[in-house]
Amino acid sequence: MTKINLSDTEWEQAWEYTLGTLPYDERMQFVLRMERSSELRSAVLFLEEKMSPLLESVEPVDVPDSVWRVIQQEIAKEQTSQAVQPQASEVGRLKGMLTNLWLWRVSTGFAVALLAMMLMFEGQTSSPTEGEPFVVLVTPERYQPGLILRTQNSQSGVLKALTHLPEPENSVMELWTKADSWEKPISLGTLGSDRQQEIRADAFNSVEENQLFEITLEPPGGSPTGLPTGEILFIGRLTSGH
Amino acid sequence: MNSHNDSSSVFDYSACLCACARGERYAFHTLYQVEAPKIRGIILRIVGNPDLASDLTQDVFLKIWDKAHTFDAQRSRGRAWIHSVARHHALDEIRRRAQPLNQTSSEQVEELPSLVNDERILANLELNEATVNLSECLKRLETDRRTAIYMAFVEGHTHEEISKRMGTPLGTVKSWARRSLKFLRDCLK
Repeated sequence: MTKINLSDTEWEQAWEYTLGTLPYDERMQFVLRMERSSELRSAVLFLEEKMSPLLESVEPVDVPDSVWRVIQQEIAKEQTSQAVQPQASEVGRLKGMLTNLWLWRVSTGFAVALLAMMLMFEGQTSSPTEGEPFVVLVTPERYQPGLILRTQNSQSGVLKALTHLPEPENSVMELWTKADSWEKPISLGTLGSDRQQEIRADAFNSVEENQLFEITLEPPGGSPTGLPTGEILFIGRLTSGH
Repeated sequence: MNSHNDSSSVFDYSACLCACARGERYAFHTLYQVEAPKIRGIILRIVGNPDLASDLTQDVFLKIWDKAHTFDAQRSRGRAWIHSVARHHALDEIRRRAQPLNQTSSEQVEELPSLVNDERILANLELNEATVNLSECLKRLETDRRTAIYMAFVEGHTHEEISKRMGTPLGTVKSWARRSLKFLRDCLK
C-alpha cells in the first residue's frame, strides 16, 4: 500500500464510510470532503479493495427484463440530447461509440481476408471488383464477417448475409450509417429475414470512403428515437476493394 | 454457488470497463449480462425490497456507463469498483430515506437467508485465492466483531441496528468498529 497520510480520526471516518454506517448527512459531508482530498479517496479505495471479497457471499438474483429495457431507453435519450448539443466531456464517448477506429483498423484486413476465403469456398464469383465500394459488416466481439453491403448506385445497395444471421424475437435488426463528418447516424431501415435484400436510401448518394455502417437490435418497427438504441450486432466501414 | 458466477471468474471486468469508457455498447451489454444479477443481489441484501433493488440496479448500470471513464485499472480491480458503486448507491438510498428498508417488510426479509453465518462466509472467502488474506485477517478477529463487520458491509446496517440485533450496547459496537479498523489496516497491508 502506498503511504496514506491521514490522522486516526480521518481513517475512522473513511472506515465508517466504507462500512456504510454513517447517517445520511455525515455520508454526504464525507463525500464532499473526499472530493477535495486525494488522501481520503486513497484510504477509501484501499479499504474497499480489501473488504470487497466479503461480497462473494452474496448470491446473484435474477433481474427482470424491464431493467435492461429502461437502461437502453435512458442511454438512447442521453445520446439523442448529445447528438443535438454534444457536451465537450462526452465527445469522446460519442466518437468511440460511432467511429470505433480501433475496431475497424484491427478488423478491416482480417474481415476482408475472411470474406475472400468465404466467397472462394462458397464458389461465388461475385466478389467485389477492384474499386467497387463495399462494406463487410463484422461482429464487434470476434470480427466474424456477417454480411456484405455493396453499393449499386446512388439510390441503393445490396445487403447479403455471409453467415447464419440471428433471428431475434420481439425485435428487429436495423441498418445505420454515419460518415465521419455527420453529427449523428441515419437509419437505412429495418432488415427482413431474406439472405439477400436491396436497401434503397438516398443516403447512398453521398457515401464516403471509410463511412461507418452498423446493424443494431431494435424494438419492433425500428428504433423509437431515430438513433441506435440496442446492441450492435455487426459493424464495418466502407472500402473500395483495393 | 449459483450458476450466475460461472462466467464472472474469468471475465475481464477492467477491460470491459475501459471499453465502456470508450462508449462501446456491446461491452456494456456484456457487462450487464455477466454482472447484473450479482449487483441486484448486493443491492437487495442492503435494501431488502425487490422492486427497489431493481430500480437501483438500473441506476447503478447507468452510473457505470456514465462514470466508466473514471475507473483506474492501475488502482483498483474492475469488479471491486463495480460492487463499490452498487453498494454505495444502495447505502445512499437507504440512508436518505432515514429508515432501514430491510426492516419495513418482515416477509421480504424472511425470504433472504441470513448471511451472518461465520462458516459460510469464511468458506466463500477461502474459495478464492485473492481473498485468503482477508479471510485470514477476519479469522483473527473475535466472532462478535467479525459479525458486526458483515452486518455493516454486506447488509448495510447502522451501528444502532447492529446494536439492537446483537443485543450489544451501542458504545461497544462502535468500539468494535474502531478496533477492527486498526487491526485490519495492519493485517491487510
